[in-house]
Amino acid sequence: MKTRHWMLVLLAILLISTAPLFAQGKDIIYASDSTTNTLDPHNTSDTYSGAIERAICQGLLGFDKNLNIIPLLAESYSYNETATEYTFKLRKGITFHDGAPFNAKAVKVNIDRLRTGKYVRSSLMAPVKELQIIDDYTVKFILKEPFGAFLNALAHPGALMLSPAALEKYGDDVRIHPVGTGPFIFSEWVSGSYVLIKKNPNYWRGKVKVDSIKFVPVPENGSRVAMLRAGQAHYIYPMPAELLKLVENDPKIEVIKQPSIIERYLILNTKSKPLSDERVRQAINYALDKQAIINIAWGGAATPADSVFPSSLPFYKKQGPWPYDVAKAKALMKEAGYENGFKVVFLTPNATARLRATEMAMQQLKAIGITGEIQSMDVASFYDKLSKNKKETVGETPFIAFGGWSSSTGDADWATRPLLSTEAFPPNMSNYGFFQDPNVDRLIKAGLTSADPKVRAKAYAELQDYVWSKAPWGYLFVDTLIAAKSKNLKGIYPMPDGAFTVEEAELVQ
Amino acid sequence: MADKTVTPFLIFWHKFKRQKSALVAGIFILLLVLAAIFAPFLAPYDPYATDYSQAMMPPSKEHWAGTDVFGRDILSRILYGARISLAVGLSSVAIGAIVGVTLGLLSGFFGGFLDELIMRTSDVLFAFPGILLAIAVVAILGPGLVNVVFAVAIFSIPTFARIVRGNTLAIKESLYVRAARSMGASNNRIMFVHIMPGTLGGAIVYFTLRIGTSILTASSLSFLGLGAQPPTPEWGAMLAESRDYIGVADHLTIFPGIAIFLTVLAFNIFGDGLRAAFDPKIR
Amino acid sequence: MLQYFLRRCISIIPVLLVVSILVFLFVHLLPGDPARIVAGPDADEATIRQVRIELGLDKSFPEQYLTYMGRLFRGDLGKSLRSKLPVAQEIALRYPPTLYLAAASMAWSILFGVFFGAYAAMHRGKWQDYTAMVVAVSGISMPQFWLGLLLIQLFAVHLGWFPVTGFTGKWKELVLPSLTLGATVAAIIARFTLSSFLDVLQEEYINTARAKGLLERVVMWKHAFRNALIPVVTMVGLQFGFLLGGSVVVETVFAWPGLGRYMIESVSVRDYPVLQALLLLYSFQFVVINLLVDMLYAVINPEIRYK
Repeated sequence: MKTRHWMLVLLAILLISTAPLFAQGKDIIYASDSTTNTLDPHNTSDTYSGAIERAICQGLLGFDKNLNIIPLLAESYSYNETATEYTFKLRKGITFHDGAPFNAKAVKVNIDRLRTGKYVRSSLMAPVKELQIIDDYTVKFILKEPFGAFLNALAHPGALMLSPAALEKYGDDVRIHPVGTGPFIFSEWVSGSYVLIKKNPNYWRGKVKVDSIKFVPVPENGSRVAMLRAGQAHYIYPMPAELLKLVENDPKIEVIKQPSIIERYLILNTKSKPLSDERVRQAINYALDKQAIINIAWGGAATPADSVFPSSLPFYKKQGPWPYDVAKAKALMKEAGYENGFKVVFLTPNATARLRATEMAMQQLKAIGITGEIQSMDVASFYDKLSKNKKETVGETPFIAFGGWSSSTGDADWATRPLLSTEAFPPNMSNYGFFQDPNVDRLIKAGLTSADPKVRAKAYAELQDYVWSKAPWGYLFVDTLIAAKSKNLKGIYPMPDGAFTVEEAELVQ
Repeated sequence: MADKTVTPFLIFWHKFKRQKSALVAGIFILLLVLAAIFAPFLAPYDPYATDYSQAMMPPSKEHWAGTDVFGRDILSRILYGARISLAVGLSSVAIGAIVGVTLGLLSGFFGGFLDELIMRTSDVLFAFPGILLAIAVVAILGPGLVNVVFAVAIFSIPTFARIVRGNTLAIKESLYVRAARSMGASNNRIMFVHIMPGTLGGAIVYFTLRIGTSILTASSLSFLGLGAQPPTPEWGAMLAESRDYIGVADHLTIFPGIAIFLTVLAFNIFGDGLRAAFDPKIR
Repeated sequence: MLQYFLRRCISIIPVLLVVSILVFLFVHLLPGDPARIVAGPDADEATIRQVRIELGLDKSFPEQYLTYMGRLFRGDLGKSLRSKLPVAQEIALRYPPTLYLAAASMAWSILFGVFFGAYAAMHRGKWQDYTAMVVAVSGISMPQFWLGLLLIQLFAVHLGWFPVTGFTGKWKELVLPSLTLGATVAAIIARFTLSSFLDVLQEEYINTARAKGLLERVVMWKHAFRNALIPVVTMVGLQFGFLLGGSVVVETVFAWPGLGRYMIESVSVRDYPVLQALLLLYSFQFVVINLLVDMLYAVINPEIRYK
């Protein structure tokens, strides 16, 4: 039969295998679950785009691998005692990729752009009253009021420096033509397919050791792992914890684990009965088997939460972890008068791991009589639902929601104020459980209005002691970030905030 | 045997029982339905009972199909899941078919403005990607299985309408319809007695294929968080929940996958038999 | 015939107009606030308000619709809320990958689908029939993401014959995704071919042809084939329309930079202009394909009359 013949031919064509598909140059492929949204640092709201921007552009300050603030384009800095004036000495002799010089004027152009209020990251410069140019290589920020976390704002990817020449030439189209001072020069962005950056031969901090890096979005976990195993990607992030078994014994692959600044917790609606009762909230914390949730729902990639914010953040003070003790939980429930339990709604985004974690929390809370149904929805609907709650009416619907937070400035203020202060009630910020306590508001303010590390440390220590026992959340865990890479790649690391650094990337044999 | 009346059902049965494979498939479906009904008696374990120490155990003597991430017995969940998956699959396609077939018949038979209206509306429906349509339906009605049934039913309407319309157009011009018309048969009679049976072949084939697709669609909806909410043991949701473990714990996806596969297969073969039995041209 | 064609072409316009309103309503009914998403998970309300104004989302609904339609008639699809790039440009980037994938999948599925269907019809009731149909049906009863991941494991990771993912224009990259996507469609086409052949093979003229002593093969391919194709053509057209929308699952599994993945990404960030443009594009494609299918009907079966 004829058809059969040419089907065989077709199959034969299909099955012909050829040379290895992957050429070994000094070109690196970085596969991630995220997609680039923009390359304009001042208008970036996601970690992934921000991390790519960091390879192209630099700020006055930056973070090292452990999220400590280091001077980058600024040589040194100083501030006054009341945290209202910050002076920066700029590094000399640095040029942007397009040849424009880096100097005080360039800083002003960038800060002024942010201060127009038109950009997503404009809020970083909101405390600034005035930026003074002292001389060509010295600038001074005058703030409206004391702001102790201002250095973190300048180290944030939202405050990266773009070439003033490029800003003039492209205007807001700089989002597809980013020009900075970093180790890599932007080359090409094919929306939805990849971003390509090439090495900067004149990088001021030294020689860049690879020719190019291509950032490819690969949303499906299994496919990303398959790319690494088949040698079609050098580095993948995130490496799904569930599939670690597949790569752990592969001699060509190395797994990197990195503690993060991402804390996960159950948001408890503190305005609703019975969750408004502190004892009930404490009972919930006793009833949660954190380690089991980590092992099963999170593939083991986390450590139990032991404070209000993760240990990689400054001013962290260890509290817990909260012990798993069902008997104690039951006693507290009885004491609060809810021996027979009550009903709540469990809200969660439908990403599989978070859904699993919520499901487990639900299974465990059943033991102390808290029952209810799960409502899972896509992430956008989830946050929409939470941010539409009003403080007047939220008390009518007791809910427990799966929450998570990463302090994008790497500071303790941004890990507490948006989540626990009264000013952060939705829709303003992310205090979705409407936790309200004057003592907490006072301590948050104390930490914010000083730049003196000692004063701040004291305020945040007190804050953590206090909030931990008040249990506004069901504390769960702190993510461990997992990346995987081919063994001959060195120098790319995940950062605690979920970003990454590629400056030292190198291919070895 | 002269006194035995020859009813249409007898003709149907006579022809259907010759389709041996369809009979087997029919029996399988019947067993499945029985299993669904009597799941509480058949299931060896409580489908909701978790045991973290038994998480992700491969198939064994105690757990024939192994356990899932929370240590729940997969076999028990599949048995209970049969209720949900079957109900969703059947009811959604049935709704879609009834509406679609009627519209297609009207459209093909009367033509003109009505045809244009129905076909263009179905174009519009068609043009909306299913997942978005489902999100919209659920956004309006709220999440839950009943709404999934509606969402899936809506997807099936245009295809039923198109198939039936196509066949109607062809049959309308056939000799026997012209003959019927010349003998003065009414529109209704021509439409439902002469044309409809001829169009059902295509519709039934699609119906059987559609049940499988519906079970799969419902599963992707469950996966999007729009359908069955955990811990409901819907087959598709079971598949989707365990996709993270493909490659490390394959039994999590294989057993619900097999359940879906066999069910779809059975409906197909059964539908084939029905089709042959319905067909007036086969004697 | 020509008159019919023109009439159908004109009738597209009101359909698209209705669709545009529906699309607009649909997109804006989705729960979720694009301004909040653009501003990022940790934004304060002031930033969100600023973004909302920036995106023009602070205006009333009819006002937004009229602005949108006004721009649309001037050929401007607006800018993506997320990337701020022109929507037309974003779609133009993702259309070719989806088109290639759709064409390749369609080729597979017609090839396998018609073959399996016809083969089963010829061997009606024998083991070949059952085998062919079980193979075909398994294509549709296997979840796509599962099949895709299995193919990747086997052909990309273990055998290394094809790349896992990617779209750089090499034919090898097309093989696995198109097979995965084509499997579903092939199953549908096989079923329709089988049922259609069975119908046709019972027609009087086939019996006549057989009675004349013609070879079974000639009867099959020359006499039956053409007529059996009619329902198959409908199905192929409809399925192609689906494929042109891009497959969410396959494009996600294979990291294929096409329209399906773009739509899902746009839904997740509530990128209104992109969703509107994509949905209008889908509708337009469907209407046109349906028109072509109807035309083909008339060509294949001249018995169908058009008033």
